[in-house]
Amino acid sequence: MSDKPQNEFFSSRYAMIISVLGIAVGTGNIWRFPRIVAQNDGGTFLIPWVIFLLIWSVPLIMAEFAIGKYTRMGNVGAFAKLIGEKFGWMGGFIGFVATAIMFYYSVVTGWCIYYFTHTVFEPLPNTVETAHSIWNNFQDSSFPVLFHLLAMGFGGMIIYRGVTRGIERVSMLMVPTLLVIILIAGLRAVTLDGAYEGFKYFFTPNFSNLANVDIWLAALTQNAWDTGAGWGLIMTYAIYMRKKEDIGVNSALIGFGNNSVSLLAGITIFCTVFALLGPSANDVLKQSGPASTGLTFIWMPQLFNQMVGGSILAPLFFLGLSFAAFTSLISMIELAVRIFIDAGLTRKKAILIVSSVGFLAGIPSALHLGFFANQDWVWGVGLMISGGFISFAILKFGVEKFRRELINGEGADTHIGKWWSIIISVIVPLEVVVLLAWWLYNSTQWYPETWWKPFDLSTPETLGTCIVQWAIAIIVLLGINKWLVTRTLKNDKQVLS
Amino acid sequence: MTDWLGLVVIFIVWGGFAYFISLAMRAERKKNTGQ
Repeated sequence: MSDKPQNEFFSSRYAMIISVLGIAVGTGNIWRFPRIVAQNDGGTFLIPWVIFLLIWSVPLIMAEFAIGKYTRMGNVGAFAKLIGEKFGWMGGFIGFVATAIMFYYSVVTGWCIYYFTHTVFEPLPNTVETAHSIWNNFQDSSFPVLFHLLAMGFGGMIIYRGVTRGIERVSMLMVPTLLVIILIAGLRAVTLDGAYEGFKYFFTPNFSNLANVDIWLAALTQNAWDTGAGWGLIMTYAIYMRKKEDIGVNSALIGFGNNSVSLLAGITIFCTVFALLGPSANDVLKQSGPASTGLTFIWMPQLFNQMVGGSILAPLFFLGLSFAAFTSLISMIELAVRIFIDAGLTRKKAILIVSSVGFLAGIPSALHLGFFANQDWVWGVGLMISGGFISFAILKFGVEKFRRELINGEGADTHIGKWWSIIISVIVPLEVVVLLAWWLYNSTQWYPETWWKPFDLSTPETLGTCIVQWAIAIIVLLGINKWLVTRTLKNDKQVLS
Repeated sequence: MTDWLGLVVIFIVWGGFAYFISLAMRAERKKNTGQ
């Protein structure tokens, strides 16, 4: 265990768990999960989804907790300390992927806040056309940029207050409120006439479709994107966990807690859509719409309009969505800020830099949905590489040593067996390779004419754009590795002495 | 078909969540009482 004096901690185990749940529970649970279930044969999808919770999410969450708790440093310092100075850039890549996601995630948070205010002050749309025009008017205005600024600015202010007075307080308020909102919406949804049809679709598997590899890969992707495992965010929050804190039980609790929220959100959305739309519900659920916004921003407001009590539920739904997005956003800001603090900056300076750069770098996504889709694609798939780097670091450190000393070390409530070592050293790397190959191959099939083009925003999800943007990030990080790692570790030693 | 798979998935995910909450609470009580 690092003997670096750590002067700020989460005030209790529950505060830490709720804050980390705030990372995991985001728009992916409410927005992406139901759409992906619908696109992948309903109930059939749930079987691999539960399996990958166990062989991707939970083991990687454990790994992140252990690395953060052991090194007490942000992503760059953590990798340099764990496996050597020349590998700091790998932590840098993980940090950059999460930060690049932050740029446009702040825009998404802004959309959610805007729709919350809109549903409070304006009547709900009663036709598809009205719902589309609300969305289009919003996108054509300066509001996406303004609400992005609001999200980024408010996020920066919370992070400035530190871990206990900032992250912890906000999470303790927003995460339980979000859970109550989803519960209320869920109870209303299951009591609608015809809701059983949605329930049936959601939970009816077609076992013959289990042989479809695409469903398995979509389930793995959903776990990778939705639980926060492999993003480097949990690694950052783990810096602030006490020595006596457990890793095994907490990780399982967070993985299962996150998927429990997804399940509840799925029941809410499926029951609502099937009850109000009947047989056409399936097609609506599969719609992506502009930047995958179809279901959430186009359909949900008008479905609420058709529902008794919908005028109250609609603002509650978007408030919950805003909370889910915001608690994830602040973890991304803290990740980037912590890397700067480790490199010797004060928290105030680091926040000013991260918030300003975050706002500026998010503007193109706020203005252009093609750019948004491009960034979502490049860094979303980049998360697979992040997961692979974490697995690599553990292999390099020594899997058994890692399990024995870091996971089952001080504070462990339960003993984590060899199954974890097998998953992290064999199964996770295999999952990374297969997923990367699958997504990148798919991109060549989607755009057979332009798959190699890096900067064509009319086809934003190409192989070429991934390779170019990842390569730029890696080359820059390799170039500054020595300087950044030396600065980071020197600062760590100064604190030690 | 629906009923049993729904119950199994809900049992695993929500049951697992409840189980780990109870494990964490028990461990915390133990730590606090110094047992």
